[in-house]
Amino acid sequence: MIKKDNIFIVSTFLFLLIIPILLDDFYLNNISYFMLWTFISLGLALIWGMGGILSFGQTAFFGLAGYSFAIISINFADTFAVGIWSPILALFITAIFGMIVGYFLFYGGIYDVFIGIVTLSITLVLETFMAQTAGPEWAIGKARLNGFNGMQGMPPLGISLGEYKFYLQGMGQYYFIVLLAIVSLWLLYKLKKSSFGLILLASKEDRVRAESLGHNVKKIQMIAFTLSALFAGLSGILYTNWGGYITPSSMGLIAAAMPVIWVAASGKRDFFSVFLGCIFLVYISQALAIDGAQYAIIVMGLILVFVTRYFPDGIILMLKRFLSNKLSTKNRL
Amino acid sequence: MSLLEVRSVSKKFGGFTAVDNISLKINKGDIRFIIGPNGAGKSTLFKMIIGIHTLNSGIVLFKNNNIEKLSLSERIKLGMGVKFQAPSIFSELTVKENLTLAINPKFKTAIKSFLERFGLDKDQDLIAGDLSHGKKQWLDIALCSISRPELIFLDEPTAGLSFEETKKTGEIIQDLNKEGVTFVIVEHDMEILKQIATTVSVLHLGKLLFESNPKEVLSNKKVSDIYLGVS
Repeated sequence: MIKKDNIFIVSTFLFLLIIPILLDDFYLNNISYFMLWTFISLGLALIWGMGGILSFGQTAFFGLAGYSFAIISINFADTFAVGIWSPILALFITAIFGMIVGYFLFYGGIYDVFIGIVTLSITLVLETFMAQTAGPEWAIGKARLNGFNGMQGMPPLGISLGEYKFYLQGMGQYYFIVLLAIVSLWLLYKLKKSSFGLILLASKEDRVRAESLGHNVKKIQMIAFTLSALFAGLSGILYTNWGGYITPSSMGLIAAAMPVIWVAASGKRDFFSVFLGCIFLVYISQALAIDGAQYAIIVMGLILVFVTRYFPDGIILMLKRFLSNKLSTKNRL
Repeated sequence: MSLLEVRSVSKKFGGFTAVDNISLKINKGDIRFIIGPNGAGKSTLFKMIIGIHTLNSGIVLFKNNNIEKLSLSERIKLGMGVKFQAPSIFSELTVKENLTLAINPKFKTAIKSFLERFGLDKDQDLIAGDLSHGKKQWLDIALCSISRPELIFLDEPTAGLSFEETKKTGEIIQDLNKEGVTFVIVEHDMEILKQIATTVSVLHLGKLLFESNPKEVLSNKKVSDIYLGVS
């Protein structure tokens, strides 16, 4: 028996699993693109929605993972299974960086709005640094960093076994992202119900009180921050694989603001709402961007203002609650 | 041997001395009240003992160990429980989730009996923020006592409670005390002091003015003067 709250999740994923039958590769690639951004949003929902920690620098981890994957896979392009172990290594590097940043934030006593400022600074510093790496001296092994033009030419995710090639492109990539989303959501909901999740939720309300119950809140926050960096890194790697490139602008101010808008507008307290809302909002951004990128950014800003004013819990979460109540009423009748 | 010893502690905020060379000894089984008018330094002393404020001078010994360098959570793990001045429960979690968060895994079975003891058994699935003020105070005391600490600090546990609720709070504290829990209570309410205190320390202008049993404290002229504003 499926629980009432899970009906939306199950039906959404059934729909996502079935639609490749109806769509060609062009549309599947587009939906893959919309979905790959959900991981950075889910990571932000973990620390912001559950932990009350607003990070403006998730794109730093996104970019770091994308660049790390590109550098490693270009350098070891001929090595066996590079398309499998290079993203894992890139995620490991991202997690270490996330843990170091988290350590200095939480053990350094930085909280509230200052976390947003520090994390935004980190991503902007990384963007500025990568943007000035245009010269030939800026290379790591065989991999040229290429400054503002970014890196390209990395081998795709996947593996080649003799004449059989299993690369994450087209439908394969689509199903891999759907599978990752299912696993991520399952993990996040499990985490929310665990004692780790309870402590994180409690620390959002009253950090000192959570500590006064004997919990090492700083450690819990650092772990949550590292996990959120991993989710952002996952998006970064999938993005790099999807387009075959990564540029410094993926760590810029506009890129940094987008996950915050998607998560706030969708409903930061609920992972599934964030997942669904992020797909819709990325789709809207892309649809609007056809007429000009700046135009899309203004509309995203307006959506944020509107939702914050009228639906502070997030519009998707509000819709989910509304439909949930409707279902309950129908069952009672 | 005392369970908690505070030796010559002082705390300054800028040029203002909030706590001035105070020494206290809390014995096992005590229900020690710390009283005094507003600005006497009660809450500052409380925060110094639990590790929220650093000491400018002096030491704090718990079970004969200097705990000065320990964080709040490390002090709690040594066997302390803390309730702050305002009810600081987690209002977005249910009553049961609040207690689950507070309990030491060794005592998981205690949740049900604790809910009954504090009159919260019918409210366990309610969102804690929806409880009445009195129940919030009791849940707060339950949070700091469910892991069976040896020493519990309560900062104004009866603030905002009715006469009956105050009386019940006193009974709960006495019950826990009979089970071996020592209490240090910062309080304004003289009714609960008369009901349960074993020793009372009176602070005034950051200094320890007087210390004795409740009867002597309540009949002491210096104490009544400072409460009436004659200093």
